[in-house]
Amino acid sequence: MTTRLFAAFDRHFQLLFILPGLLCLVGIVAYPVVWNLVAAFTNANLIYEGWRFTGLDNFRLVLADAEFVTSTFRTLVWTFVSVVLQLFVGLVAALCLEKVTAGRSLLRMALIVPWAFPAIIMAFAWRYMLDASYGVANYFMMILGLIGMPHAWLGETGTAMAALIAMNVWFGFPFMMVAMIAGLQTIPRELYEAARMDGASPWQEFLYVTLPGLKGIVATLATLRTIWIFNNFEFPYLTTGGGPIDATTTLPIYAFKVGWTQYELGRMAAVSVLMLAILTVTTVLYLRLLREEDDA
Amino acid sequence: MPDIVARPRAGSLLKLAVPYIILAVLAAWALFPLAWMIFSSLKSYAELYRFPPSFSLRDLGFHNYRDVIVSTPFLSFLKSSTIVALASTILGTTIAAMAAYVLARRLVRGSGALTKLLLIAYIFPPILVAIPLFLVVNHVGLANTQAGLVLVHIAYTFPFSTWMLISFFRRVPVELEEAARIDGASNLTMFFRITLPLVAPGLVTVAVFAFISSWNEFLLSLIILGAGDQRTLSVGLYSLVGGEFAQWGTAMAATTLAIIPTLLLFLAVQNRMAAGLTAGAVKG
Repeated sequence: MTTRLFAAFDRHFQLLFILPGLLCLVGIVAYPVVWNLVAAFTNANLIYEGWRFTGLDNFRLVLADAEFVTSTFRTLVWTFVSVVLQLFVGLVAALCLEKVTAGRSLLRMALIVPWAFPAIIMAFAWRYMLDASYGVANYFMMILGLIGMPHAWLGETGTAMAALIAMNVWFGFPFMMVAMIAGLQTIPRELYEAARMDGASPWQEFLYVTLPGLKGIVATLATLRTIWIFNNFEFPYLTTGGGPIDATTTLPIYAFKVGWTQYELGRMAAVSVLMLAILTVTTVLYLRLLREEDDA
Repeated sequence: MPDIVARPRAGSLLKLAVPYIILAVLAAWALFPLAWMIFSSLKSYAELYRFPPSFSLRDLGFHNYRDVIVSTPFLSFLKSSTIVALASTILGTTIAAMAAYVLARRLVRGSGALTKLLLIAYIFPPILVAIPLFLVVNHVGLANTQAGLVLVHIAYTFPFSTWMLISFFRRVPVELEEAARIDGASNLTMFFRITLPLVAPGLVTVAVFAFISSWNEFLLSLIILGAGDQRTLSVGLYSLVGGEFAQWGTAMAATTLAIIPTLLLFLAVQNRMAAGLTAGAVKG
């Protein structure tokens, strides 16, 4: 009996193997998407039971909200500037690491440390460093003559987003660096030798051999990071809470406030659906841009 | 005359030094927040709130650590984080390994579509996923429990874990499995005896990744555990020192203690994790 049961189990093992995974995918993808697509057209609420369809009301309310429009714009700036700077610092670090010999693995290890920071710990470490009254960042910048008096970097509407982006670049460049090192190693040595024989300067070598060789990986990194930063909730929430006066309220924070603080689940679902739409358009644009470049 | 000889040497020396200078600046920037956090955690109350900040190494002590352990629920948070991260890592990696094997060998219809779905899962904002999942977890009575959070974290790490493991399974030659089958081994024996040991390095990498993800995760933990007594570190630390008038001494000691496990794990596997991450990225 047990052997026959085992034989039946063994014959269909692939189904039993994939089933828990399928449940995970339903839980993390299918169900939330369907839920949001339905709830966006209802007056669902976290406190009151029962809900009914309200057509496009939620979308009308959201799109008419000035805060939603500014949050969208803010999210695009936060995402774009962070990704570009992360890529740039990551590239510089990768190129420098390739050039050095002594102490290379030690330097690499040091540069990777920010990547290991949990969002909550990073937020506290940076909040203390950037504090208006006793922050060490103010002290260094005053010594360097960059500022005359201490600033509340995270507490002033003019600087909060910039400070947040600085923190995000600090966290994100190690991953870019590691991936670019892998990318640099895929460029054939012969290309450099050929360029040198043709009398190319180091700058020309970089421009015509290194950069084109990295294009594929840079495109992939840019796409993945754009999605990740656009969706990121923790960094602004834990560092500034979206403040001061909404200066760092990105779309995930906006959606969270609507759904979890104001209990308006239907309206939050509408925001989520709009976020997904913006993200899908961006990703498709990226991919199309890449394909065109490949054709050219 | 000596000038002509000296100049190119000075030039190439400078060329050698520039990368080191840039890397030194970047490394200082990368390490400073960690160093400052540890240094501050050892300072006295008065030293912490002084400007310009003190760099003196005298009068450092562990009083902030004693405060954290004696007068805050830190140990309870730590215990909860350990339970949730270990449980979701063990269960999650098992589920991911089973699914990754089936998808890597294309053993079920729609394997290709499912593999793509793993990547698409990446595009969904966590905020879009968090509240529907909370409603389900709440409905089955697991809100505010570690079990509820474990279930959510398993699903949360599943797409990426599976995606990474697929590439590890693909590197195992099918011929080995065919040889085992000719010798009369059952499917399950073959999987556990032949295939699984060969992807052991991949399993370790993915397990560490899952552990760190669960340990660090904030949004889902906040929504599932709220202010309950089963809070994990990420949520607990937030409620402990989240207010405007943060006690920086306790905060820095608590965060230093909390980062030790992930930092050590991360540095231990960073080489392999980077290789795993970039293998997919370079290919795609």
